[in-house]
Amino acid sequence: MFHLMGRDISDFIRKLFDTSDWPPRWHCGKWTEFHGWLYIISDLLIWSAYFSIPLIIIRYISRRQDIRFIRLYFLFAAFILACGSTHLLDAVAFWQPAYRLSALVLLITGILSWVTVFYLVKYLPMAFALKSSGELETEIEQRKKAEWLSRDSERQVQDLFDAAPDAVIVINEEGHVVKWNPKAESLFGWPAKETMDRPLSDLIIPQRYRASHNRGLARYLSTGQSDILGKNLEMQACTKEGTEIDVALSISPTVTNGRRLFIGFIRDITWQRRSQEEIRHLNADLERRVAERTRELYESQQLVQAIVDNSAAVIYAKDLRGQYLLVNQLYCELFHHSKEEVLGKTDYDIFNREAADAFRDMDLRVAAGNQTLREAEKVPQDDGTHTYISVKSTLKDARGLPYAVIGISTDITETKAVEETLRKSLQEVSDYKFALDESAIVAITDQKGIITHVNDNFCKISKYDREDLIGQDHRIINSGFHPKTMIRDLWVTIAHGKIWRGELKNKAKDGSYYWVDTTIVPFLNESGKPYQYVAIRADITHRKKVEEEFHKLNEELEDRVNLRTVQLESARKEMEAFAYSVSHDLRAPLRGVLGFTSMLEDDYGSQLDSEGQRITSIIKNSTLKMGQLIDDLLAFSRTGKQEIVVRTVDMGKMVREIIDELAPVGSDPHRIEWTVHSLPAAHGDIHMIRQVWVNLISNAIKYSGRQEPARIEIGHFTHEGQLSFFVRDNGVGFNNKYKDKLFRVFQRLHKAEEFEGTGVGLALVEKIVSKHGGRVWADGEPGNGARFCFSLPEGRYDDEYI
Amino acid sequence: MKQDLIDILLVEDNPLDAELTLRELKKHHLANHLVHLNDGEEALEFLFANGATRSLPKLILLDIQMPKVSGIELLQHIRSHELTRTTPVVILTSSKEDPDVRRCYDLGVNSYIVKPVNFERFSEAIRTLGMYWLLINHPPT
Repeated sequence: MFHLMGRDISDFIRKLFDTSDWPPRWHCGKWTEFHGWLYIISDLLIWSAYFSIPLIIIRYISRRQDIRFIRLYFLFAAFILACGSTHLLDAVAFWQPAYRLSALVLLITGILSWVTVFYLVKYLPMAFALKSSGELETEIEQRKKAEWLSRDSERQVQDLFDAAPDAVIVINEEGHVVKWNPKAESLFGWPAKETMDRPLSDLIIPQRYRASHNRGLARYLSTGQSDILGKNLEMQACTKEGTEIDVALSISPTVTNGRRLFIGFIRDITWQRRSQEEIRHLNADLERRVAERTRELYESQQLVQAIVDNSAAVIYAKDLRGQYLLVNQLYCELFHHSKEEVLGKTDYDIFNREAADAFRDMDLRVAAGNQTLREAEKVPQDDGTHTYISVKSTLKDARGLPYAVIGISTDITETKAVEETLRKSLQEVSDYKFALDESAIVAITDQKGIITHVNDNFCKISKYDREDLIGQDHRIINSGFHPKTMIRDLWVTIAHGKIWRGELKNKAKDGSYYWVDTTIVPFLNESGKPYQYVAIRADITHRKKVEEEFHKLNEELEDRVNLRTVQLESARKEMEAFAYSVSHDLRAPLRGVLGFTSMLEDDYGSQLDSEGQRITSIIKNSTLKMGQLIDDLLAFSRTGKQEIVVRTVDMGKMVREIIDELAPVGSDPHRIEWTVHSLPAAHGDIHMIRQVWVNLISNAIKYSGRQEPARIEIGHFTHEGQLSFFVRDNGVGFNNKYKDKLFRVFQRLHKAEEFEGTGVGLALVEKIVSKHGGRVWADGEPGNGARFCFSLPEGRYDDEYI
Repeated sequence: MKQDLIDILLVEDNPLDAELTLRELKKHHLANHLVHLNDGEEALEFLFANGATRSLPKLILLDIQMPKVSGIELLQHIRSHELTRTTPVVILTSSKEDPDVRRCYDLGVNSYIVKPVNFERFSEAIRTLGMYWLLINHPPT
C-alpha cells in the first residue's frame, strides 16, 4: 500500500504540471458560459485581492519600527497569499487542469492556515494584554490631565529656559544637542531646530578644542570624573558665521528619564573682555605719556641748566629780598663760591658794599617797575673791575606779580679792550696809508681790475683826474709797450694770490710816457681768493731814461767793436797776404843775390883780391841774415794766428830732447854745466811750448857762451799760484831797467857783433805764453847772468792725456 | 835740342831762379835734355797743343807762383790728362808760408820743395832732386 502510495507520490511529483489526465473543467460537467465565467472571474478577484493584502502587510511592517508580533504578520501574509494561489489555480483549471499542483498548493495553504492558528492561540493572551484603543484614549486623557497639572512648573522652567539671559544648551551622552534656547540662537546664530540632535562640537566648539571636548566627555561617561563640570570657565566659542567669541561657561550634569544630560550655561563675555583690554591699554598709554612728559621735563630742565651753566654770561635770579635763588656755573667760577654757598645769600654777602648797593639798586628798580632794564654794571673781580652789560627782568607768579629778578650779565671788558686795540690799529693803518700816499703812487682795483681808488700821486703822474680813473681799468694808462704775455703773467700771478713785481711803462693822459716800479699785492678774503689788488708804484722814469741812454750807448759801442773787429779781421787777412808775399817775393831776390854772389866766387874767385873776397862774403852774410830775419818774422806772425791745441806736455822729456838737440854731448864748443831739475807735466800746445823752451835754452847757451864754465839751470816753482818754469844762466845778463824791452820784437840789448840774433825769439816766447794765459818775465844783472821765467795756468784739455 | 827726347821740363818765370837751377843741373849733367818754359801758358801749349803726343818728359819741375797759369792750375791739367796723369811732377816754391802744400798733394804732386835762400843749400836741393828723379827713380813706362 505504502509501495503503491510511494509510486503514486513519485508519479504525482513527476506529473505535477501534467494536465493530460483530466479534461479541462469546461468539459467536465455542464458548465454554462455564464456559470463558468462567474466562477473564473470570482476566483481571479479573490486571487488579486489575496495577493494585494500581503503586499500591504509587508509594506506596513517595513514602515513600522515598533511592530510587535512580527512573525504573526508574516504568517498572515503567507496564509492569505497561499489562499489567493488556490483560487488562481482553480480559475486556470478551466483550460489547464493541473490538479496535482492545485493539491499541493491546497496542502501548503492548509499548513500555513494551521500554523497561523497555532500562533494566534499562542499570542492571543498577549494581544489581549495590550491596551485597547479605548483604554489608550482613556490613558492619554489621564496623562493630559496630569500634564495640565504639572504644566505651571514646566512652563515656568520653559519660561526660564526661554528668557534666560544666558545661552542654555542641553546635550545628551552622545554629545548631541537636545535643547537650545533663544539666547543660544541669538548668541551662536544657529536656529534651535537646526541644532537638534547634532553634535555640539560641530556647532560652537572651535576646531582646536573639539578633540579635548570629546575626550573630556568620554572620560566623564566612563569614569565619572571631569575637570570642568560645576566650574566657571572662560573660553572661546564660535558662531555659525565662524567668528570666535569669548564666553564664560558652566556645565552641570543631570539625569532625566534615566538618561544623563548636560546643561550648559554660556555667557558672552567678549565685550567685557574688550573693555578690560581697553582699560589696560589706556592705563599703559597713560603711564607711557607720563613717563614721556617726565623725560621731556627732565630734558628741558637739563637743557635750560646746560644753557645757563655753559653761558658765557653770568646768569642769576634773586628774590625780592635780594636772596639768590639761582646762579650759573660762570658766576660760581668768577666769584669763587659754590652754588650751595650762594643760594639764600644776598649780594652783600658776596660783594663789597659799594658794588652790592649798585646791584641792589638796579634789582629794586626792575622789581618796582616790573620791567626789563639793560644797564652797564661795574663788577669787582680778581683781576680788577670788569664792565658788564646786565639785562634784568622780573619773574612773575601765577597772579602776574613779580616774585624774583632774573639777570643776565655779559662781560664787555675784553670787547672794550679789543675795540681800543682795533682803534689803535686803524689809526696805525691810517698812518701807514698816509705815509704810503705821501711817498708812492697807489691804486686799488677790485678783483676784476676796475679801479676803485687812486691817490694824489697817481693822478699827478698820470695827469688824469680821479673821476677819469675810478671805474676804469688799467688799460686807460696802458702804453702798449709791454708784450701781452707779460700782462697775462701779471694777472695770472696776482689772481693766484701772489705778489707781482715789475717795471711798467705807462701812458699819461697827455700821451707822454712814464715808468713805474710796480708792486701789486692781492688782498685775500677768508677763502684765500683775491677780492682786491693794491698796486704800489714808484716813478722810475728818470732812471729808465738813463738806462735807455746807457743801453743805447752800449749798443753803439758794440757796433763800434764789431766794426773794429771786422776791420781787424781784414787787417789780419791783409797781414797774412803780406806775410805770404814777403816770404815769397823777398826770398826770391835774396836767393838771387846769394846765388849769383856764389857764382861770382866760384867762377871769378881767382880774379878777386882779398878785399874783393871780403866784400862778396859780406854780401852773402848780410843776405843770409836778411833771410833769417824774414823767416823769424814770419814765424812770429804765424804764431799769432795759430790755434793752440792744449795737451798734457811732459816738460822733463821735452827739455832733455831740446838740450840734446841744441848742445849734443861732445860737440859742445864750450863746456856747459847743466842742472836740470825734475819738471812736472804742464798743459799747452806741444809745438808752441817746445818753441818756448828752444828759444829760452838757445838764448841761455848763446849768452853764456863766454863763461867758463857756462852754467845753465832749468827748474820749476810756483809763482802767484801758477806753475812756473825758469831757465837760469850765468851769462852776460842784462840791466834790469831794460827788461821791459826784452820781449818786444826787434828789441835787442846786445849788439849784433856781440851776439847774433834777430830780436824776435823772446817776443815769440812772450806771444806764445800769453796765448796760453800765462806770463813771462825775466831778471838779470849785467855780467851775472839772467833768469827767464814763464808760467802756465792749469790748462783746459783739448783731448786726453798723451 | 831734340824735341822728342826730353828728360826735364822746367816751368819757371823767375829767370834768375831758372838760371841757378839750370846751372846746378848742368853742373851734374842732368840738363842735357831740358826744356825751360817761362810760364804755365807756354807749358800747356807745349804739353797739350795739337793733341800733343810727343814723348813726355821724365820729370816736370813747376814753380808755383807764376803769372797767367799758376803752377797749381798746370798741375791740375797735367793730372787730369790721360797721357800726363802719371808723369812725376815736383813743385818748387820760394815760400814756407804757402797755403797750397796740402792742395798740391791732393792734386797728386810727387814732391814739394821750398827753395832755400842759402845758395849752397839750394844747389844741394836741386842736385838731389835731379839725380833722384832722373837716375834713381824708375818712371812709369
